Amino acid sequence: MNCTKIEKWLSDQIDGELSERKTRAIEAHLEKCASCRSYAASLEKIHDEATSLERVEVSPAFWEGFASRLKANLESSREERKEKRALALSWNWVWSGAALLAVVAVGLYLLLFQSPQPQEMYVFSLENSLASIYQEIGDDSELEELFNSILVESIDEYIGDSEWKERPDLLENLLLWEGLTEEEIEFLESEIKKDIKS
Amino acid sequence: MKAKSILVLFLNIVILSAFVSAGVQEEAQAREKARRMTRENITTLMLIRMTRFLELTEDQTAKIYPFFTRIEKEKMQINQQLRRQMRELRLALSAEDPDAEGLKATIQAIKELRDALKSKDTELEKHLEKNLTVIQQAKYLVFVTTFFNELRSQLNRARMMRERAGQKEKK
Repeated sequence: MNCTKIEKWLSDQIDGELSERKTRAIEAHLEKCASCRSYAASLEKIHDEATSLERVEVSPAFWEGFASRLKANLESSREERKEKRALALSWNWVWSGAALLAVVAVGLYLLLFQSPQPQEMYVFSLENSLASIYQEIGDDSELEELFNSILVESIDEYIGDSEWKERPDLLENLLLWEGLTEEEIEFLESEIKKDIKS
Repeated sequence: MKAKSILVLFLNIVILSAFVSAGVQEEAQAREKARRMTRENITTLMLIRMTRFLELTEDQTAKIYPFFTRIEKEKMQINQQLRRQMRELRLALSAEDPDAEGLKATIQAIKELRDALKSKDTELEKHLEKNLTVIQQAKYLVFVTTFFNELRSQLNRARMMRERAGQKEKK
């Protein structure tokens, strides 16, 4: 037998609403189930204590205006709940506002105080890129001279590098390639190829 | 006497203008020389850096360097012509009544030179495509961008150096 069903029947038994068949079924179950026996005992104890309570006599005057007092109490508690909710809502607004202010402040900080990232220029034409550099130099010969000295410095840095020292054939007279004819270049190319193969 | 003084004055003017014109020409030549040097230095630096960045083999270097320098030489010549044409255009525009036909011809010449420059760039790119691996081609695009951005910062460095030198002189 299911204990849950027995618990329900026990409650009905106390109220005196249980059939004889169910009462017998309960008795049979209680003999076997200790947990339901304990539940039945505690239920009986509660019932006995409740019935032993003194009946409080209420004056007829108490009942007069009972409904209006109840209504008034209910309304006041409803108002209280509304106020509490309104307060909670206003705090929600305060927190939302604070969060919004924080976001705006961080945004402004990033916008105003962070150093701007240098914009990278994408090169799709060598000539245009060179032209833009020459345009920046313009007729400023002093600037061009300084720029040239920096370029030479950079070239020297690379040429001074050990890796380049190992390849002096490519390093020396880098721009003298210009003076060579197509045939000379082809000859050099074939010679280098031979060199690589050997 | 009067005729003599007029003649002397005339001769003085001629000599003076010859000196001025020689000075202007010299200045233009010096500027041209400086520009040529800048371009050569940029090309040299670019080739050295490119060889490293793309890890070119000697075989590739042998194929790319001569081609690169030839294209550069041709581009330099085109640029010289372009500058000459631009000078002519400015002169023509500064005249009171610019000759429309002459302007048209100069515009056409400038357009053709500009196209020639573009085609040289394309020619170089095609040659690189033929001789570089796909990874090197990709690296080349990154390299060129980086290289020109670096050139810009070097130019800024030159400006700052001059400013600092100027401030020291003031002190």
